[in-house]
Amino acid sequence: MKVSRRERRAAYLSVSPWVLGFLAFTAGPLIMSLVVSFTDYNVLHPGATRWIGAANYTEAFRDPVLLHSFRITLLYVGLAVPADLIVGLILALVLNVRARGGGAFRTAMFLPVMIAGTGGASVAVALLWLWLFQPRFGLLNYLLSKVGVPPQLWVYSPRLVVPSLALMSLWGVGRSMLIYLAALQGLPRDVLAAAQVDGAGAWRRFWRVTIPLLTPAILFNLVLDLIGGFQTFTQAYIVTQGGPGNSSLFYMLYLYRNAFSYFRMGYASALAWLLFVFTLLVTILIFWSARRWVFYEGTAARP
Amino acid sequence: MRTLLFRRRGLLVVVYAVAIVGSAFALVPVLWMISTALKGDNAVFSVPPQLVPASPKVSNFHQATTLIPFWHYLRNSLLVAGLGALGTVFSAALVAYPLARLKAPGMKVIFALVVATLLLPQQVLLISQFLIFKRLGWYGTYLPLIVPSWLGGGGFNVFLLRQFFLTLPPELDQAALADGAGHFRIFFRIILPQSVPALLAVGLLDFASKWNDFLGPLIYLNRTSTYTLPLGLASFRDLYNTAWNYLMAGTILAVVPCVVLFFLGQRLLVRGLAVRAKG
Repeated sequence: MKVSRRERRAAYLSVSPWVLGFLAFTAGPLIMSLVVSFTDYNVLHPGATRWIGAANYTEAFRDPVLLHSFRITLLYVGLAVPADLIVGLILALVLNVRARGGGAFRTAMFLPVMIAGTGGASVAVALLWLWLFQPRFGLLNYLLSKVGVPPQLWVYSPRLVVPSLALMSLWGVGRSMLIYLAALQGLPRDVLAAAQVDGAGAWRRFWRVTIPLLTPAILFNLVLDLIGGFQTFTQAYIVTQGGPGNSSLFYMLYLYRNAFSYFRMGYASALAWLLFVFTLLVTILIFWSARRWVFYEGTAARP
Repeated sequence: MRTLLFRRRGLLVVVYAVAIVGSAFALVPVLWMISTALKGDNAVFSVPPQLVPASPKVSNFHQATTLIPFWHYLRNSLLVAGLGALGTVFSAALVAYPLARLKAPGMKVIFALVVATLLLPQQVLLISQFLIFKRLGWYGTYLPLIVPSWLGGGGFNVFLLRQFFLTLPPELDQAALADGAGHFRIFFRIILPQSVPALLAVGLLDFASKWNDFLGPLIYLNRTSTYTLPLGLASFRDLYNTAWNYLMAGTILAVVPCVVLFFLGQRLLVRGLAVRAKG
């Protein structure tokens, strides 16, 4: 009995820094941002803060700029996330084939992640791609001219700026590739071998065995990509400053401007909470749907 | 047998074709960055572009470190990312240990909260954290960038380390307990030394993310003397927005420490991510 009390004391002592950090830097700020979102808190005049009810939220729903930034963020996510999921999977499948030079290819494809970090885009990547996109002197238009494609304005075109940034994000596909690769290498060999013995062809084995076994990794990448995609900031801040016009004014960039350029902390907090609730709903939807398409070992096999 | 061989060969052709295209997409921008960094001021703007600089100027790298106080920014980045990553590894391990190996009421709740923070977009907390740190008088210092790492460690890292600790045989603790060792002694003397690969993987990933972090330093650092490299690069671009050769040289220098670390830790990372992917 004495031992278990010691164990309990050790456990509580050990988690206490985390609990303190959780209260001070996560739970506290989360509640505080909700409170602030119902005020007109302005950093320049904190003394004059008034309680304004849901006014920030009603303003947000009528704010045409917010609607616009929400739309282009969705467009970006709609382009970047499927591209990352599919290209990452294809590259991982290819690298999973035992063939000469595999290690070199893997290192090459992972190099952009080393430059960008695992969080997606960094300032370094943004600067590099800004220079690649440069319409007159950049490499991209030069390479395209070799195959007869006329020069494009890329991030300087209102129409192309969001797809261009999605292309730039695809450069970091090595991250999801590595997760797929790790999952592929952990696949149970007996299941694959059993399918082969049963006489299933390669194509059928791929769709009926490999893909279902990979669905946990797909779910993991999907959730990670979505949460990251909705928070896209650095790319837009460095490459385009939201431009041309407002055509790449991502949600987070608009939120940042409200908070730190216009000092409207109350409104920005409301925007943060709207994004949070939206992300939460999407995540819940995905996990709910995951019951139908994610295959976990040990659960009953489906046809 | 022959058809099988042919099939195998056809598959290999496809595999190599995809691998080459994928690698080219990854490598060509890097080569372009290096090529630009070595060009003279006029060669940067030649049409068509010189793919290989006609007369490489290695001195651009030196020039880049004098146009901005590069070494100063590098020192700041090392300080922020180094101390931050150290804190992350230590505090994530400290909370993961009881979650994996000690029995006490409430541990399940703590673990559920850890997983919940994993799904919480950190940006939601951005503004109120800023207001709190400003009130504490930490605005303009490195404290907001370092202290939270020492009191938390991030949901992912805690989760990863907990999974790793679970794989260590329980006999380790029992033998030590029988010898009269306390739980913290077991943590420091047995659990941590047994988990070095996982701890290094967590440290590497966290160092890289802090090294590249832009939004945090952008919000909290207000004097150029405190800038980290990402802020320094951004200001470099604002000052010399057409000096692409120096900009690319500076960018290369800024990413080298991280790339070297990743090269050294690639194996660890694959193992670390393998545990993660199972979540």
